[in-house]
Amino acid sequence: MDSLVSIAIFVGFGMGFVLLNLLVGKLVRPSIPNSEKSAIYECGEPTIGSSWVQFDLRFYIVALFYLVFDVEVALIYPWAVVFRDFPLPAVVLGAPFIGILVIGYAYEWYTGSLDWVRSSINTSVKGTAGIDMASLARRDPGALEEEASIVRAGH
Amino acid sequence: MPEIWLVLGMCAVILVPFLKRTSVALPTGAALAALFFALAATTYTLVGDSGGTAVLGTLTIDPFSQFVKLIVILFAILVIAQWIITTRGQTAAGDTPDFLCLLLGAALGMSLMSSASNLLMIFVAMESASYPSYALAGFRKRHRIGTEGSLKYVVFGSAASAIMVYGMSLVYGMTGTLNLSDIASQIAGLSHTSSAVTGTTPALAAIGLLLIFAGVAFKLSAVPMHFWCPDVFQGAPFEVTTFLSVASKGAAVALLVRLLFTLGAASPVNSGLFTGVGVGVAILGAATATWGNLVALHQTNIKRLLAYSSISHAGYMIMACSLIALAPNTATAHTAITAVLFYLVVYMFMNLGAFTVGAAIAAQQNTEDIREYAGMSKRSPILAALMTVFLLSLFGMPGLGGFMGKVFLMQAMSDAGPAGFVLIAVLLINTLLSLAYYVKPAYYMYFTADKESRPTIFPSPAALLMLFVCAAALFWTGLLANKANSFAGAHAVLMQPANAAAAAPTLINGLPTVAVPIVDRHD
Repeated sequence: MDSLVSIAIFVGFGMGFVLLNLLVGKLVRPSIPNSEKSAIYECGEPTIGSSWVQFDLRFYIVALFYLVFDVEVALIYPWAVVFRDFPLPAVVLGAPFIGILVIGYAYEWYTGSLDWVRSSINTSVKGTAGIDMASLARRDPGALEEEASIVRAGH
Repeated sequence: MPEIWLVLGMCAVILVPFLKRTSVALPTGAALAALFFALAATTYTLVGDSGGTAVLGTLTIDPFSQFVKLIVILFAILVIAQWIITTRGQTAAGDTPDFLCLLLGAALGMSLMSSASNLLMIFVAMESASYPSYALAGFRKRHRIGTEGSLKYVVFGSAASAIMVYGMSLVYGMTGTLNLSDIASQIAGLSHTSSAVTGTTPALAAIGLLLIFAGVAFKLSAVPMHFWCPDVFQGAPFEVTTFLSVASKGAAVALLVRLLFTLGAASPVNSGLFTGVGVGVAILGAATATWGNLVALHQTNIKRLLAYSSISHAGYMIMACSLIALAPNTATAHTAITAVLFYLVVYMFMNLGAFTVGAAIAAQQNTEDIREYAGMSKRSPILAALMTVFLLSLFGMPGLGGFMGKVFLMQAMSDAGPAGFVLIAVLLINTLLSLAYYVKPAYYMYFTADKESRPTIFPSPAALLMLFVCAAALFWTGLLANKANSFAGAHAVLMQPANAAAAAPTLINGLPTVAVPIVDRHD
């Protein structure tokens, strides 16, 4: 309990110190804004455009795949250390785990989710991927036009 | 182990497109086959009622867990049937494997939730039930409400998981074990050990438990954690809403029952902490039921109306769960668990029926607004009659399953002394409140003339068959309830934790002994 109290005092003091200094700075400093000062800081370089840009969703897929396989490595490492002689139980325990990941990976690859240029035209020709253009057109003809305009803007 | 079949089914469903690209029948068949194998495996273990553990003691296999798994898997089959019958046309052929894989994954997580008896397994099971649910909730692409609901679900769910993991870390830090029954016996020992010796206080245990229960409350959509429920239900496709409303909540109720039962098995009689937990859960249930019913009064969207209705039904079940902690003896606890299981079965058929009618109407009239149901008794008399049956059963009309469900809940409550009578009063008032909104769709269907010549709705024969089966199940459980109730009673048996007797705390100077695996280095 004593250690908790000292930690609480430490945390409280740390937070109070920061807030107090910010407050002092706010009270003391002069406020003369100009366009140069309020510009976005980009390592000293002149900024190009706004920072409110749309981020390409495809980077998330890459990041997600990195995460999945990074976690796989993290889990396989202790597995390899525990079963260093590679006995049969190691295969029995490890194979389903890796197998399931491989199945998911193959499915993503096969359905075209990993194609960098994943346009509607591309996917509808293949007839495999996420957006089924025929049924989309049946339900919502406007969406089809929207999809096409996205593709045009992309190229 | 039905879970293995579900995993195999998930693999099979996403391997099918390699054989035939845009087939719908093949993945559906694979998913149904896996579910039927899982159902058979569950039914097989249902017969032999010896409790046991699996996966290093993290899963408890007992009649209770198998019964809940039976409900979850059976319901997954029914939901796939509902999807085929009503809304499959809205799912793109290329998305079918994704949809089925996610559904099976959610069913897997819910099955695990019903037997998890280890903090780690509880967390893993809840996450593997949640993640597919998040994706399923936003399954309709280019559907703004669906995406919004899905995002709310993810954000809320992540926060709830974080809270729960924090609670688990507190409990683990205090007891040094992840096993639920060991934790229960240590916490029970805590209440009559001087806190100066152990360095931990019951207050810390209470906070840890509270945070764990908060995570469960999210899955139950209990009141302070219910905000995701209506938005997700409205945005998700009908079959997903149906699945989440029953299977997700059923699994969460099962988890709540197991937590309370395991805590109760170790706690001494009149333990202050455990009674406090019971009172807390009872208040949670009462608040959930009342709030759900009050907000449902204003709803005009059938999905939102049924979402709030499902919140209030979860509240009734939570109130019954609290009896495990409040009950003076194990017989009452058994009655309460039986009532909850019976209620779950009835609730499954009521909700499936009501949502299927809603889906059939939405598919042909393209509306989810109950005011658009005007003149349904003329346009589609069979659908109107069936919907009325399901709504009246949800309300608790005598003769239907919902009534007997509430009767059994009240019977269990009446055994629990004064606190039970308070709960009965809450339940009765809520039942009256709920009548006001359950008759609203029926009012529009029967007593409002159709002035805009809305289309006549012809449900498909398969949909009608499904609805008649649901209605028959409600009449059967309503009129001949004893048989179903004794079946539920036979399965309301949880495995007694083996080491409940050894309730001696093993804490030394407040520091738990943690077993660190030491890797033997030969080099």
